[in-house]
Amino acid sequence: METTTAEFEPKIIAFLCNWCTYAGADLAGTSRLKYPANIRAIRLTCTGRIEPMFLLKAFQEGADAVLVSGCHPGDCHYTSGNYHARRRWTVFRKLLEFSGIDPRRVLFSWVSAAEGRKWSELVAEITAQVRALGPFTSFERIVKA
Amino acid sequence: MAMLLARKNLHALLRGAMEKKYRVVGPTRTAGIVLFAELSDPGALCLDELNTQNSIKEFFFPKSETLLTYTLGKKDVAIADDFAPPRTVLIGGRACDARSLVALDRLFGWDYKDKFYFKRREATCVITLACDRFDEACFCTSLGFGPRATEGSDILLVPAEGDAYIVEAVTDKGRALIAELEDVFTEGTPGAEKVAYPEKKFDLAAVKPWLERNFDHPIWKEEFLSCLGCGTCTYQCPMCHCFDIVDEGDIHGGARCKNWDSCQFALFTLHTSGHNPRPAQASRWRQRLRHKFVYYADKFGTEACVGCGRCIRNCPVRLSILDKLVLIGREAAAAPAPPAGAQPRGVTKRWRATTSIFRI
Amino acid sequence: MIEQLRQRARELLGEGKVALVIGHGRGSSPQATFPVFITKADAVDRLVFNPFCRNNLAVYLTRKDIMPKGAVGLVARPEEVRSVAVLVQEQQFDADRVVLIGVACAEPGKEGAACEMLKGRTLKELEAEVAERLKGRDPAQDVAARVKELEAMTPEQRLAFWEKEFSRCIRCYACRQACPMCYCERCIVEKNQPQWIPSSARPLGNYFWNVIRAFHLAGRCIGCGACARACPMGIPLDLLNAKVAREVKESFAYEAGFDHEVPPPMASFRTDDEQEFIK
Repeated sequence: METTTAEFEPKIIAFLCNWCTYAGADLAGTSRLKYPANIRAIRLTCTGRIEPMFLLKAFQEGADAVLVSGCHPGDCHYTSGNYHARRRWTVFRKLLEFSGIDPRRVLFSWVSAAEGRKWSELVAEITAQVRALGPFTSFERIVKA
Repeated sequence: MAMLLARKNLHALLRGAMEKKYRVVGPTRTAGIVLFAELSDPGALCLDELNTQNSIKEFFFPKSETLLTYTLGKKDVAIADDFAPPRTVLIGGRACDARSLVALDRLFGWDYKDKFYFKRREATCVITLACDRFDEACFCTSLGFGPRATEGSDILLVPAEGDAYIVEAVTDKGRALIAELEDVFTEGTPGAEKVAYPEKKFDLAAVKPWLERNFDHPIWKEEFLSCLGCGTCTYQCPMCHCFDIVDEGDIHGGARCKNWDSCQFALFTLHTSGHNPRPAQASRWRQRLRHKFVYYADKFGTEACVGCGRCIRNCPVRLSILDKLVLIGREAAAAPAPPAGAQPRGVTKRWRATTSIFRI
Repeated sequence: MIEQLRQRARELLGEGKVALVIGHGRGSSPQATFPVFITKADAVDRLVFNPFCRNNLAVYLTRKDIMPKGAVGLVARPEEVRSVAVLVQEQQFDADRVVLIGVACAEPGKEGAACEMLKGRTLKELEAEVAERLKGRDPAQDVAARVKELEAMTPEQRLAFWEKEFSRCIRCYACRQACPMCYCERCIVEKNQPQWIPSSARPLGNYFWNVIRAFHLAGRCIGCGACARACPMGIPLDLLNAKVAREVKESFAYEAGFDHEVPPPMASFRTDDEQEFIK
């Protein structure tokens, strides 16, 4: 890791589905698995509930990256919320990329309630990735203007 | 003898102003359109177009003005509302643009003196360019002035034969700027003025009385159906001045902003109850016309329209205020005001035959 | 051709099949046509059609203050046919509320280009006819080329590009008002509890507004370009729309406005949709 960004602790806002990833993160905790504290979790009923504006608002409030995570396909508590979410994010992340938001700052994952280990590894991986990217200063410029 | 500015000295004038630390604002080409904007160098000035897309009001009444900023401390709130606009030379506006400033002065200084507007007014020297051409959307002459009117300008430049402008110093501010930048001006015998006057298209004196007595005229149901309800006409208008004040920020701090608003938006008059006194786009158009030619005239003694034609050129559906004023002029001539005491209606045969399916 | 157009309008109004015909009216020049609303058979001579008729008239079909109770006749270019297909698909009105008078120009915007009546009468027939006409033709090649130019930039450069373009935005919402698909009674930009999109015409609000507007048209925009033409500040909104439309096409093999009977792509899914971007 570069020395210039070594001090930088990224803020990552995670929008988590109540039934799978939030429970998975909980499992990581009760299993005493360690992972970086850079994640700020926001619990929502379903990935299908996550509005694109939520992501933009997170960037407005100073997030260096956002993560959306929920149940694996076929496992949605509401049958199909994650399928709808998948379509939405397929398009929205491309639009954000086209509008100048680095796709490495807009992250998605499926983490089940049983995948505490996957969660801890995922958070470690994306935290390192966003730390290497550095603070999202170009968006901050727009927010502060 | 008169004071002249050779056309080739226009850039020297701007460079001189920049060297004297003025911000210079003028028409410049950006992304294919010509806009009033701050010029980074004199060469950016673009006088190809008759008129810019935006109006000069942006530099006196910006689309979003910060009135104050606040920061929340542990015990108190720190508020900052200092305001010092940059000294500005605004060049390339037309007589219509300059006239809008005089009319806006009355509004912004009426019961409360808007410090933001007037500080910007004081800090800005307006150099107007008389028109050597016009297009079909121009109608200054119909409003009782013309393309070389001096009202609102500090300096008027009148194009003349011999590749020069005749320089008319209108105000002390203008004279002071000329004194500051005297090198670029010359004394000489002026050539003939090259000023183009659009023909008069309607009788202004007939418009206000007609509007006053025809609030329920069928015209409102029939003539404004295509309006999309966007705010382009009002936002590009040099005279439209409605605004909304919003607080933007959070628990730590933020700003109070004065933002443009438009009577053409459906939400403009929507009540909390859900009732909307202007329920249809046609009623919003009626308001626009009546505000410009009745209410503003009653209150401030002048119309809130300067005939620049921006609303016409920019309308996505080519709904032209000029066409409607011409129509009103014709209606007024065909159905003059009734004698005092008679039924205050003036609907011509054409409109009496209308059984409109549209609501308003 | 114009006589055929007027004849159909005359028949529809005369026989009482529609209460209103929306079409293009004669302006001061061929370039200056504008929308007209005709309620009487003897007024159909106001209708014209030429390569410069570019307003998307389908925008009026969801306007509560002007739509009569009965059916409406609409002079429909391929753009209007496709817009109506989307509006019917999204259940804004029944297909039989709108009687389409199909017209088309071989090269829109080109002086003297041939214009003709479309043969189809029903929405379904016209959808097929329009699809056939547009096959192999990409009317927005220049837009696609500019999208590619932007894609070749780094995210930082693109952000700077849009920052500059959006800086001109005055929030007049002409883009929204000119769009047939923007029929929401209350647009997200006007929702203020909470204020999702700042209403000030400043960089952040302008960015949010223009990006979200494009996203809300995903799988719905038919690429008529009305938004970009309506923009008084010359913001290239068609680039955002074209980018989104292309992603929808590549990911879901769907193009808006050719079939009103299938579910909208953003309100449906396949269990095997791509997901390489999800960890």
